[in-house]
Amino acid sequence: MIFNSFVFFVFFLVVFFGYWFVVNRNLRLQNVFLLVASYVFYGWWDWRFLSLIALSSLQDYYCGIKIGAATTPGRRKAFLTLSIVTNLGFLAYFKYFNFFIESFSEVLASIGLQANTYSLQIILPVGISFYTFQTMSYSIDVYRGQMKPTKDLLAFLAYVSFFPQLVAGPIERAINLLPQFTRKRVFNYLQATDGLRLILWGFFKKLVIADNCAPYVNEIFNAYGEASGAELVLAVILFAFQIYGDFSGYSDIAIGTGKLLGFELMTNFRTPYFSRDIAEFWRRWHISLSTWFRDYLYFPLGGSRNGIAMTIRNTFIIFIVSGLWHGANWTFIIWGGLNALYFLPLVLLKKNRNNLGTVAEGKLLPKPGEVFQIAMTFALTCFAWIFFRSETVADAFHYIGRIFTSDLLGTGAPTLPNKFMLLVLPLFLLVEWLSRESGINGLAKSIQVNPVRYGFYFLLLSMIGIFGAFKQTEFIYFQF
Amino acid sequence: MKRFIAKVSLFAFGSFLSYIVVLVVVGFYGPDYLKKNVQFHPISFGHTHSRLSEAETAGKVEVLIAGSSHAFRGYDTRIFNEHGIRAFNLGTINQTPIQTQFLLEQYVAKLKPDVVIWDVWPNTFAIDGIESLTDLLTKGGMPNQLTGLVMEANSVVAYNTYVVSQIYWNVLNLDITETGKIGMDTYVKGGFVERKLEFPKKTTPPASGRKIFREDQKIAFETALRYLNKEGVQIFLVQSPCTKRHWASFENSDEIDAFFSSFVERGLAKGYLNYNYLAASEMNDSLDFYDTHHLNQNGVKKFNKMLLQHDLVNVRERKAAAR
Repeated sequence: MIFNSFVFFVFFLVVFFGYWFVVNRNLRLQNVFLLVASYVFYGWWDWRFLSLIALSSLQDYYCGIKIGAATTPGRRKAFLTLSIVTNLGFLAYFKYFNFFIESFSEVLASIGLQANTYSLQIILPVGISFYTFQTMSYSIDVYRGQMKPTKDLLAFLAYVSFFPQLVAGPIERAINLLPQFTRKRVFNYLQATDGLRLILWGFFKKLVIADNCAPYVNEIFNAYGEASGAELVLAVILFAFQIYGDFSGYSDIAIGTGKLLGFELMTNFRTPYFSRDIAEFWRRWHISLSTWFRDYLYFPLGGSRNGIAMTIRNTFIIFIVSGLWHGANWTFIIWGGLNALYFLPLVLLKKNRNNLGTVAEGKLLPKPGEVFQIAMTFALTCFAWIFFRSETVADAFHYIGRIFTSDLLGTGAPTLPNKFMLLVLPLFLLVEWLSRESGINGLAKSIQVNPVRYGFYFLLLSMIGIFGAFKQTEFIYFQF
Repeated sequence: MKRFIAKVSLFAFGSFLSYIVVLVVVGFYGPDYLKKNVQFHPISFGHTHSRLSEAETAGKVEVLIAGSSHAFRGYDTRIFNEHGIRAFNLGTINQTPIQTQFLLEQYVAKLKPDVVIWDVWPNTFAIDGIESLTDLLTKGGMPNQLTGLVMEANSVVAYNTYVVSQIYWNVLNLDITETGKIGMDTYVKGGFVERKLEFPKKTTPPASGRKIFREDQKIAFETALRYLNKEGVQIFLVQSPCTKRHWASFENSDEIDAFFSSFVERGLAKGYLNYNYLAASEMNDSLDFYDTHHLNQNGVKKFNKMLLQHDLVNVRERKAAAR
């Protein structure tokens, strides 16, 4: 079941009214209801993999209790290891088994050895990378003593499988989300209307921006050998908008849906394409994942505290692991490596925290220097997206090669995507710019004149209806 | 919660109204590039309005031709008339079996054909038919009758076009004045559209692949055949020729032929004639087509002459018997 489907619309109406009108008086009933709804949501895709979520949840629930009750550091570590090994084991099997086998085979072949390898027909369970990371963070937080293990199995199961963010995040921390399952939820009008606004904006980003960029991007990337340099550049820029609209759109809908049910999920994107350097970009892009890697991998490895060599090592580790998290393909690993290369000079020169605030805070326009910084950061990001989007590393290099050899600055006009995108994209960027400090809810609330505010909502709805792509395409991050 | 539901309901109502206004403005006055999900183009190719208007008053015909642009560009009713056969061409843009079924149910009673020639272009069995549906909605002047098809299509494009068409035809009671000549096309009485003679420009060869027929199109196809049989109409399934390289791009052409032949074997159609074989030696890819799969007027003449040699309609036979 995907958000942009009629089935989900009906499903959510039933859940919303059942949740607030039928089971609203009892917390346990609310949690049972959410658990069932979440399992129906996930099972709609493939019910067989419900057992995987259940198993992962039960195991981490058990490990959490055992870690909390352990009297020796050894036992605590043993149960933490069990949790991590099992979760990573699921990931390794379902997501990386064939990749590792094939890569190993290629390495052997490159030194002249023949290996009898085999690959398996493995279905990748939707969202496995998201919920395994979510449950692992619980075990680690309990181990670190940052939270007490929960004894409420029902709340824990509902937390792991919470349907708004189950298949594509945000990857919630137990410390933020789990307590919300153990206290009574009361309907809050302002929270609910904030949620609706986010859902509207999320659908706009997904259906109007991302899915309308997709055909052009697919066409050019699938036949890059026939495209001109300008078309290749345009396709990468549109891919940047596609992936942002797709993923941040999903996050907005997830957060908005959570709000309608009385939950606060973490912010996952904060206008990343207005970042002035790569460090700022990574503080604004897929925040729930980058902070996960920061807190559970980068800091434990020592971060940037143990000299230049260790800083370089740690930076490469987190970015390459982040790339690998996205998919079992060398393209993602190189994408991660490139980002590490972009990031390293900043961290080594201790400039990675130069831009902690928002660009042009309190002002309407950025300074020329900031415009240049934003443009450079965007260009670097787009260059890395070529690897992210290409099927193979060879394709990515050929693509880059062709940008500079096939008439980049020629006089021939490139084939453009649908003309209406030329109207929609500037509007999208304008709204993004205006909402960079306070988000879409802050922007909407700042419009004091009701007809103007409602006019803005109606405009978004009309654009969804008239320009939206309604082929029920899956969200890109489902595959991760 | 009450306040929330009341406000959301009010907002939904306001959104609905404002959406209709925007739809109408874009549908009526918007440039084509703004009409992604509103395919309302009253003046455009195909002459559907002229054809359907004429069908209302044409009276009895002997041969009714149905199908996509292959039908209305491939079967010249003047040539049929020259052979003593009164024919009407009911082809419309990208008409798929779903719309053919609808049009036959609308017009067979009015046109009372003895024979239906159904041009079965394989592509039309493999698509959803939204383009054809919106063409009928826009130019047919009968959105009420198309309500069922719109609901079945369940597509935003169909819904949006339906709303604009309803307002255009039924609320504002507007009409379309379609000129006989649109671009290079000239409408010919009887439903045929003659295109100014031209030859294929250098075009990219069609990508090879299997044409997978959709289940809903197959069901509509069989339902329409059964309807025609019930009405006592003889049916010929015909594939007008396309260029040899286009035909060669269908990797499952044997399967396609077997599909259509099966309806003859089951007695639901009188015959299946594939002119990609029957006219293979006559047709020249460079001289008889204007693109990879549409006949130009030279090709139309050759093809129609061959088709009518079959006396597939038995009209002459029956006329002789009647005399």
